[in-house]
Amino acid sequence: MGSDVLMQNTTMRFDDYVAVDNVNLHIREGEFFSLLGSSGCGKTTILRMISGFLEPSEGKVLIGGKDMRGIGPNKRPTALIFQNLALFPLMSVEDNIAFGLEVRSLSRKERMRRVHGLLELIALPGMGSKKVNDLSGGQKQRVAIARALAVEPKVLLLDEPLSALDLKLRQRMRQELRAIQQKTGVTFIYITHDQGEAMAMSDRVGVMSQASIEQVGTPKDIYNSPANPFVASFVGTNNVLAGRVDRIIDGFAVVRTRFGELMGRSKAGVQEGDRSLLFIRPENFFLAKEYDRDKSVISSTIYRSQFEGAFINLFLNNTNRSREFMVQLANDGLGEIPSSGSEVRLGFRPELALVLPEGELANE
Amino acid sequence: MNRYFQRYGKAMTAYIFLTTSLWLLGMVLMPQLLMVDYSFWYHDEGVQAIAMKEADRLEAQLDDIDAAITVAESKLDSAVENARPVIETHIAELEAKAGAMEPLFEPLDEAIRNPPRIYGFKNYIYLLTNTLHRSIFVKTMLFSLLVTFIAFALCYPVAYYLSHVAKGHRTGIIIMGLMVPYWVNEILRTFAWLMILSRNGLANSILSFLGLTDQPVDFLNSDSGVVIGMIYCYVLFMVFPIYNTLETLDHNQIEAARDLGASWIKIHRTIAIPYAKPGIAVGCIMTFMVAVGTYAVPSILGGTSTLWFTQIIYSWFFDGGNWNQGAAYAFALLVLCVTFVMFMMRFFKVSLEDIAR
Repeated sequence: MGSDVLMQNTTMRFDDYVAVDNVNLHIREGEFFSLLGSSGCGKTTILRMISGFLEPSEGKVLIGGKDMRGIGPNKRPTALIFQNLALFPLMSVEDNIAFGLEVRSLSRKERMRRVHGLLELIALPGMGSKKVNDLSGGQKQRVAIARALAVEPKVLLLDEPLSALDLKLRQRMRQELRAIQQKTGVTFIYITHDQGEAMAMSDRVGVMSQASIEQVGTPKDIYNSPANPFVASFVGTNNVLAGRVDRIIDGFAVVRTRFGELMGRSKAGVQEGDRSLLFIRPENFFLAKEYDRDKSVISSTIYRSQFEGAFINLFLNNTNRSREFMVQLANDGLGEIPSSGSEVRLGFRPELALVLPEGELANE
Repeated sequence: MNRYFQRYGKAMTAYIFLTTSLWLLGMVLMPQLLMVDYSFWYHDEGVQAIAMKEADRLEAQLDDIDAAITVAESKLDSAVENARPVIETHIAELEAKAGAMEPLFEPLDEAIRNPPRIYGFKNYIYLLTNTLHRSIFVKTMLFSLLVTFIAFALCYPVAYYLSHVAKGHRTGIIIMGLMVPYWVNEILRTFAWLMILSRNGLANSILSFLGLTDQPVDFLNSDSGVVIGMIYCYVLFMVFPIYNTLETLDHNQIEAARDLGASWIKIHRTIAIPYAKPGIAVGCIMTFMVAVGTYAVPSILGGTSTLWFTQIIYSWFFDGGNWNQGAAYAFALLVLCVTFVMFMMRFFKVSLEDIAR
C-alpha cells in the first residue's frame, strides 16, 4: 500500500459554515508537505479529515489509493501529533510510546525492542521509565513523535506541534523533524501558521486562505512565483502597488502606479488596460544609480529609517497606512544610511517584480 | 499560618479558623465523642433491680402503716373518752415511723432512675451475638455495595457522554434533566417509586404487558425495591464527581489513543477510567455512605420483612429507648464507612487531597 494522500473535491461543512471548500490536493509518498495558513483557514479540518476524526461532507480522501470513507481513525495508516501533544500523563515515557504497540498486541519483548529503537531515534535513550510530566518541552515533543512513529504509520500528521516551544528550541526541532522524516521515509503532513517553519522543512507547501488552497509548490516556487495576490502578500513580506496595465512587452507589463510607470514580470491573466497589482519584495531594492531606467526606479521620501545590523529597513511615505511600504537594503558597512525625511531613489530589477491580476490580499 | 495571613488578611483568617474550629469541635467532634462514649457503657441493671425490689418492700411497709393509721383513726371516733389519748399517741407513733421511712426512698429512686454506668463492650457484643441484627448489618453493607456498583455502571457512561460527547447546550439540558428530580424532596421521590413498584403499579403493568411475568412481582416486600429506589435517589452523588473529573480530561488524549488504534474499551480502560479515578472514588464513597445511612428509602419501599440497619438504630433510640445500644450500632456503621473510604482510597490509589479536589 502506497502512502500518498489524495483529496478529491473535498468539502467540509459544519451546519452552514464551510470550513473546507472543494479542495483538491495530492500529497506524494514520502514527502514533507506543509499546509500553511492563518488560524481558522481550515487547515486543521483538512488534517482531521485525513486522520479520520472528520468525514468530509462531500468528496473523497484517499490514502495509498484507497478510499478512506467509513474507516475510523484507529484503522487508518495515519498517526496524528496534536498541538498540545496529548501525551498520557499517567503513563511513563515507555508506556506512552508503547501504547499503540500494545493495541496491536505485540509481545512485550517486541514492544520493548521497538521502544528502545524509537528512544534512540529521538535521542532520549534511557529515559523510558521517566514520567511524562518530568520532561522538558522539547523532550515531550520528541516523545510525541516517537509515540506516533511507533505504530509505523504511512502518513504522519502534525498539527502545529512546535508552537508551544521557545524560538531556539523550535529551530532545533525543525532540523530534527526534517532529519527524522528523511530517516524514516514516512509522509509528513505538517500544519503551521509559521512561514519560516514551512519554508525550512518542507519539500512542498500548500498555502491556504479561507477554506481553500491557493497554491501548492516548493518553498522556492511559493516565495518567488506566487500564483495570486493572496499568496504574494501572505508569504514573506511584500510591497504591493495597484495600478492599470499600460502595455505588455515580452512578458513584462508596464503598470501605471502612484510612483509612475513601473515594470514587472507579467503573470498569466494580466491584460492590457486591466487593473493589476505590482509586487516587489523589500530585499529586491537597491539604491538607484543615475543611469538606471526610470521604469524600475521609485522616488520617495523616507518616513522612517531603521537600522537592523545586517539590514537597513526603510519605510516609504505611503498613502495606504494599513499596508507599509518597506525597503530592505543590505548593510555593506561603507555606504551612507539614508535617514528619515530624506529623498531616495530606489531601483529594482523588473525580473524580480511581479505583476498579477487584481485580487484579494492577505490581511497584514 | 503566615501564608494564610498573607492570602486572606488577619481578620478573615481569624474568622475562618474560628468558624472552622467551632464547627469541627462543636458539631463534629463533640457529638461524635459523646456518641462513642455512650456506646461503651450501659446501665447496671442488677443494681437497678435490687433498688426496685427494696423500694417495693418499703412501699409495702408504708402501705401497711397507712392501713394501720386508717384503722386507728376509724377507732378514734367510736372510742371512749379515756381511750382516746392512747389511740392518738399510737397514730402519732405510726406517722413518725412513716415519716422516718421517707428519706430511704431517695437513694433508691436515684438508683432506679439513673443506675450506675458500667463501661465495657456489652453493646457491641450484643450486635455481634444477635444473629438477626448481625445479618441485617451484613446485608446493609452488601446491598450498599451493590447499589454503589450499579450506580457506577449506570453513571460512568452518562458522565462520559456529558463531558466528551454531548455538545453545547445539550449538556446543559441533560444536566438540568438530572438535577430537576432532585429539587423534589427525597421522601416524595421515594413515594413516586412506591407507586411505580407497587403490585399494580407502572413497573408491573409494563412487565405483564411485555409478557415477561404472569404474576405481579412483589418489589416492595423484597430488597429489590429498596435497591432500585436507592439507585434512583443517589445516582447524582455518582454522576457529578465522575463528570467533574472527566470534564478536565483533555479530549485530545482520547483522540490520540483512538488515533493510535485503541478500541473504545481500551480507551476507557487505559485513559478515561484511570484519569477519572479520584472522581470515581468520591462517587463511590458518597453513594455508599448515603446508601448505608439512608432511613427514608428502606422505610418507604422496604416492606416489613426487609429491615435496613439504620432502622434498627432508629428503633434503639426512639422505640427501645436504649441510647447506649443505639450509639454502639451507629458507631459500628461509622466504622464500616471509614473502612470503606480507606479501602477505596487504597484501591484507587488516590490520596485525600485528590478526593478533596
